[in-house]
Amino acid sequence: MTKPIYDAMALTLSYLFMALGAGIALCGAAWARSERRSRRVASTAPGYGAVGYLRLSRGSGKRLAKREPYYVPIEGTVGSGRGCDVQLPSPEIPGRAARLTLTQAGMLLSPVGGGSVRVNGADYRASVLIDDDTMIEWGSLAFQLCLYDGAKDLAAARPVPPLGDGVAVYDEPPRRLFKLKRGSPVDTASDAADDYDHDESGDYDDIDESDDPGDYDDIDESDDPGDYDDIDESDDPGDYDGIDESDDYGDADDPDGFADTDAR
Amino acid sequence: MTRGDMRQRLVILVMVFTAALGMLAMLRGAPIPGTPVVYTADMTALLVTAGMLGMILLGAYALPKRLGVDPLLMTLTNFLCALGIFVQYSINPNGGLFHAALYAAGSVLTILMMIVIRRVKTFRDWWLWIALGAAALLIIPRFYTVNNAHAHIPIQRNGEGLITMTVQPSEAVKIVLIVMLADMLSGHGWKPDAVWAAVFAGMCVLLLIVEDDLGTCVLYVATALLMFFAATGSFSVLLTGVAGAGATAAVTYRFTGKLKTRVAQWLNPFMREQLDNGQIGLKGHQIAESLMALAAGGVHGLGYGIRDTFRYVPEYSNDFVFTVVCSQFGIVFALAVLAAYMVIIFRGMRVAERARRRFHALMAIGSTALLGVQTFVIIGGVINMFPLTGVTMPFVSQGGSSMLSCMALMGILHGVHACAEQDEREARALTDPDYGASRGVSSGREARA
Repeated sequence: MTKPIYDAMALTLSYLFMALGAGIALCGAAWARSERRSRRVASTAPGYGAVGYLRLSRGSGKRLAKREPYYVPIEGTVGSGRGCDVQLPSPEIPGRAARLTLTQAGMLLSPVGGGSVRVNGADYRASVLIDDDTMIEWGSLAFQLCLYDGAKDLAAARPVPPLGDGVAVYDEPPRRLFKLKRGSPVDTASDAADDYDHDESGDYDDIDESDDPGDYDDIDESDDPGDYDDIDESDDPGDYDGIDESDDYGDADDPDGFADTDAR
Repeated sequence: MTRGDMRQRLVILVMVFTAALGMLAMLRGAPIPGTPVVYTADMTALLVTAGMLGMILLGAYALPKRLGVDPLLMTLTNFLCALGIFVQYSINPNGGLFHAALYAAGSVLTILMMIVIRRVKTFRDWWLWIALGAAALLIIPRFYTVNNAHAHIPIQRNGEGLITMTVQPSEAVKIVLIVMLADMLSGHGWKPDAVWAAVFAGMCVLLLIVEDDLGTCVLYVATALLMFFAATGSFSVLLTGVAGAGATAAVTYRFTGKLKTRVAQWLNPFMREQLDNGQIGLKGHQIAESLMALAAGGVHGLGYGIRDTFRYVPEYSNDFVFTVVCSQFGIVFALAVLAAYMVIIFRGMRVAERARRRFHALMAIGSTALLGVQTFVIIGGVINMFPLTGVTMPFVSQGGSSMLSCMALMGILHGVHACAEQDEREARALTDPDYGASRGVSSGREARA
């Protein structure tokens, strides 16, 4: 091949390279963007990383979302700091408040930095094993832990720290605050514990209906974090249609008031 | 458009680019002695092109399926490596072949690194030995002088005693720095370990200053600071680190002539001064020649291998390879290359975000930060945005140590990606038994059944 022919070819192909370069960059960016979007939607779904969530049940904060769940991973830290896996942005909560580790027996809550954590009205300085529906409190704020059904099974597949001597186990029956009966008079968790009726019949008649923090009738369905109907099926890495409805995250007769907000 | 379609499109575009560039390299070949306008077909270029095309397909389809590598990262890395190989081939065919060999070795290193990341949970038991090894690697080059610096160890000389091949240990220590800092900062009782992390990073930086390898020193400092910030989430830690780095830079500037020269060249590259040989020349002739070659490329470039205007630029195959890319392919293509780097960086951050373990997340952040800062610093230096530093452009510049370390960094990202994918599969199998059965992923629910 002579030089003029090669030069003409190389000069012509320089336009092709320009177009190819632009195409590669755009295509790569579009790929990364689409995957990020679909994962962002899916990452809040049960079974896609989150094993449950914390929900603010008492108190308020400028940056705290009242009805948005704070998703809890299988293991991580909780606190107001940016570095925490579950970030609860409030000055009442320490930067790194506690460590959460899912075990087969429940969620192990370990205060960090020499602090304590208040669980259902009782202060714990050592690790405490908590379960679904437990109230975790910092200052005037109370968060309710909700674990997805079957979440503890995930702990079977991974090594978990052994429960040492210093681990307290919260073994009281699960408290039903606003889940069973709308309007629990929860001024403090200890008050709520006193109000709680431990008998098997589950008589909650003594609960004051007037102070109703659990009225979820006004939940805006359009804001529902668990509404996955709008997921683009073609982009959806997690096909949640196949979830066994019989083994769902809430019983039909469980009046927990979360059926409409559960991330299904 | 689904992700499968996008993958297919991206792979086709990268393959067309590689094939077109390989065809030009083959047709250009080498001039026949005595006939200056006639070229022979270069079959070696054809073989290199075929190998690259195979690697692109392997990286986009087979390896993600078999080993869990990230196909987007792999495809974009292959694009940049193909660009590097053919740019080096146009400068010097032997250099291009060497770059291709390094790419092949680097690909193996990527896989090995990925396997290590997937298997090893911590290096805590070997911290002391790793730190001592890193210190030794950084001290040894102090006893050799290559290109008026003490950053390289000569490993090959020609018959006249001139150095023909060197290794740069600081490139290997980059990986060690990231893994060690991630390991030290990922513990639950993080405060004592963070002190050790600061001590280790400080030791590496001081040894690099002693070696006069200031470009790599900038990378180490920036990466360490970003990793500390990611681990602690504290602006006070970041500001303290920046203040310390600034103070160290001021002291280094005061006592190091090289840094003063670089800053003077950056501030006024076209100023004339008397050179060492007594002639009058440009003060920052490296940058001045680079800027002129960049301008000569124009929008669409001069064409691959037509006119070597970049030959006036010193170190055009290493530090100034971005000038060669701009000169041959034009500014639009160069911007697309920058965009490819940006996508790699954002993707790396996404890998870090998805990681379930703190150790993995910090390693991914460190690897991404290092690649990003390295790209930013060298391209900024070439276009005179910052003082020029002697670091390489990842995957494109000539340099064995750099190429291998960049491929190892990609191995870390692929390893973290594969672990995150595995964790997500296990988590999904929990609530979707059909998914677990179809993918062979076990969950607690199946075990109970």
